[in-house]
Amino acid sequence: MIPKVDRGFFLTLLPFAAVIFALFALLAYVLAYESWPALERFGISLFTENVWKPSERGVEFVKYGLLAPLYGTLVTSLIAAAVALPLSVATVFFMEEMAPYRIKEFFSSVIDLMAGLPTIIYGLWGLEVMVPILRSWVMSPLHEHLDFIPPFACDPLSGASFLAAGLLLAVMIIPFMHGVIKEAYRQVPRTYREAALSLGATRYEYFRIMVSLIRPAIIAAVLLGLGRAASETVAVALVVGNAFNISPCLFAPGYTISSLIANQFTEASFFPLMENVMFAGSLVLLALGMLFSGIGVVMMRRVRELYGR
Amino acid sequence: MELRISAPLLASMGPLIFVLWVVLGLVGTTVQGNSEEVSILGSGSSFIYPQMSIWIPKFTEEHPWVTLNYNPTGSGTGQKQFLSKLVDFAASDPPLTRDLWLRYRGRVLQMPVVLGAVVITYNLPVEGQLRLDGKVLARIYKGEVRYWDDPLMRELNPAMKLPHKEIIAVHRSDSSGTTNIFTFFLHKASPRDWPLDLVGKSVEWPVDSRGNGVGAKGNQGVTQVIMNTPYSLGYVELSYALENDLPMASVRNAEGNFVTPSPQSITEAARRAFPLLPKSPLDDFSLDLDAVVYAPGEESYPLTSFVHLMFWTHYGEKAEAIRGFVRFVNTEGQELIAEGYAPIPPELRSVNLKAVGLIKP
Amino acid sequence: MDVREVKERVFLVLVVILSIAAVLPVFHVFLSVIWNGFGVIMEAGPNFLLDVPPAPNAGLGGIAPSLAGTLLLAVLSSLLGIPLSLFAAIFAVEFPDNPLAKMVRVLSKALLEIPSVVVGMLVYAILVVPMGRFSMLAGSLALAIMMIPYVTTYVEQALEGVPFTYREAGFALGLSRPKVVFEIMVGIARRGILTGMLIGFAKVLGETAPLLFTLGRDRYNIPLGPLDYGDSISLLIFDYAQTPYANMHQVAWGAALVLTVMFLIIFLISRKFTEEVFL
Repeated sequence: MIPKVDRGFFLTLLPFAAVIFALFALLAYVLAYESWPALERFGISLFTENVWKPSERGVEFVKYGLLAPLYGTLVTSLIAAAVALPLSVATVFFMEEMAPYRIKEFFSSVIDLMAGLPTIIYGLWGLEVMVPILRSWVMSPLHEHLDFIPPFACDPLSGASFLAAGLLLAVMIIPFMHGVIKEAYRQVPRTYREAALSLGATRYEYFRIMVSLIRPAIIAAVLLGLGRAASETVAVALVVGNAFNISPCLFAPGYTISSLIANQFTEASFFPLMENVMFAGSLVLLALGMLFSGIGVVMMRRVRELYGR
Repeated sequence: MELRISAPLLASMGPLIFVLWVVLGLVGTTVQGNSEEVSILGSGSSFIYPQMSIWIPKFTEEHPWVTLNYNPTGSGTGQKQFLSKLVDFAASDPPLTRDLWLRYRGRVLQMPVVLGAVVITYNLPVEGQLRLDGKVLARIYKGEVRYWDDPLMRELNPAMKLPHKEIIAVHRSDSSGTTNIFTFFLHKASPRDWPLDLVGKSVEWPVDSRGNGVGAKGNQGVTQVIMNTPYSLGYVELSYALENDLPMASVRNAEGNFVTPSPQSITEAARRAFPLLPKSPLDDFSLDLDAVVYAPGEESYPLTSFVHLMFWTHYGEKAEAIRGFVRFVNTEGQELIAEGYAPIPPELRSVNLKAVGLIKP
Repeated sequence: MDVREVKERVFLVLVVILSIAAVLPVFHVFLSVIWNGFGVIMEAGPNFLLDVPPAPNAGLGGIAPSLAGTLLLAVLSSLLGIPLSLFAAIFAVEFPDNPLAKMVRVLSKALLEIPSVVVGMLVYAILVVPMGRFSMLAGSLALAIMMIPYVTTYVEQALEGVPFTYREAGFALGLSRPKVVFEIMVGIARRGILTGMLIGFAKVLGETAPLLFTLGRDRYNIPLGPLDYGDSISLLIFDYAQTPYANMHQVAWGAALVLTVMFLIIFLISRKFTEEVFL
């Protein structure tokens, strides 16, 4: 219950919150409304099968299954989060505990820069610079020497692949995950830190203690990072390769839900149900995003409660 | 009490200014309504976009009272936006389907305005120009011809030293008119090897399941894969092959000749297809690809295609500007063709120009 | 050297290496953009900012309409998006136990999880189709939606970073809740809030996907009114990177440099400004 003195303040701010609710309701409604014909027609097979059979001849000839883009979304986001997590944790520890003031400031500026840099610039760089480098210096050597390991088993044809998309996404979500972890890290009370140090812990041991103290925040960072990676559109569309492909090989081209929409929506109206299928895909992303974000917020709240603020 | 707080007041100015901008803009537009300015918007095919960016500045230079814009949203979106009157005209690689044409019959005008071609390009460290036909291409994309030195390939190219390497068949991963032309050609040239099921803007490529196929997004994506991948082969729009200096195969046409894509061989295909084309912009164009792909004629390039413009018959105050644009495109516009496209033959221009008389205020 | 010490050394070296690895790519991005874009802009001269784009294989031209569109869109969407996000974030932070406020927090973060292209499709469905035209209005609304999650996240973080004692001190002075929030909390957290606004502004400066179906891509006229068609630099890069023409690729890289420089200028100005105020 809001105390009486605060009620005016609460009501003044409420309209702004209401806009966000309204926006979300509208979005959910439009997505659900547009997805319904596809869900009705294909049911659960829309998410469990890998088929892409558009036809202009009529609705009875088409068949769609989004398994490949779902798989691609999952794999690229997991690569991104797996790569970005150690890097984000390292930057937080480095900046909070090791770096001299000037270096810390510099790093902090660079990370803010990374967060704000237009995604189309990452995309252009990814397409024209990163992918060729990755292909000749990472993928080809790995494939030549370690092709008995399934993730390296296929020949990196153009370089546009799950791996390329995952790594580009990692670069793009580092500042985001860094921010979440830093926030929690700073909330650990000074007394805990001093206690650890007074026991004569080395910085490595101190680090392990700190990480265990902010574990919920690290989970939150991973979840929020995953959601962020899954929703990225333009940059991924340029480097993921865009093929309906479910392959354990990281060098193979794939699709993500959002790159599928970016690629195919423009021509989708030619084909019965294709637009609806894409709306259904974005509905899945929305549901996943809300789930991740919900758990993430709960986790962050737990950190705050733990340290009594 | 809240009135004394400056920060929220300051921040609320933002939305107010925004609303003011919208209101003033709307009022301004209504007041300006009677001016001589005419604004036309088209959308559709991204394939024709470079050509449009040559036509538009030239046209508006000659018609300074017209603002003309073109939005490369893709043919499907273009048709949709045109039919829902979101834009004034559309450019589309495929014409309206027969069903749609029947629904808008008598009100909609269509015209092929420029020709494109799909070329077969390849990355092969061997001297000489590759010669291909529909049969061997169909079998490559089915995964049945797997090596460059397959007997069928050697038969077509006796003079080339073809290596015993696997052919990597590159195709579009996105839905595209290019794929439609290519698969339609395969079907017309070799119906036994390439059934009608496998014709369309987006098909399930048999070669993919054999592990020799690669999908890439857009002409640009296919071009890049081919440039980066030795022993690959794929199909792209002519302009992409020209710009990137890719080799182009000569393809066997309906008369059995091997023809290299060029503006002449492309326009020739349209000229020989002309007798089969509709004779009025009001007619049904839905089968015109059937006429121009694998067209008759000794010098015709078999993978030729049209890009269509679509207009309404009634435009209100915009009619004069639209008429001017139709006239421009079919007269001096045909002298300003971008590299990688070909002008339509004169016969077709005169059919298109009938539209000028059909467009009413 | 005992095991503990070895572990310690390895750990410290690893942290430094990983930290550098985390920020290295962005330097490579900058270098690539400068490397590829600088020559283009030198060749085109000041006309790059004043001219309209070229036809295929016909020189470099310029990006004036797209540049103007980008700036105008960023300003217009900020006028809507920043106040909305600011107040929504304050609402979420000030009433942490209220279910509505909890919802705001979850929903504003969940906006991040929606592919940006879907925001464009939403605006297309609710505004472009009913109005019968693409417009700067539709584009700026789509961008305003895009900036909400960024700005709210940063503002929330900044406000939560303010030690509780300041708030107590404010109340102890007898200030009302709004005064404490707007004059003390916002004042102390202004660095973080400004960073959030800046990142929101920079985000919409470079967004592409929400504009695909909303803006109209008029590359030859400078947009002014809410009903005008517009263009943005990001759309221009997206389209031109996919053409086969070398000159259009050059324009794309030049435009990327312009976009990056714009972003850097705004970033540095506000950094300077907040540092002076804060430190």
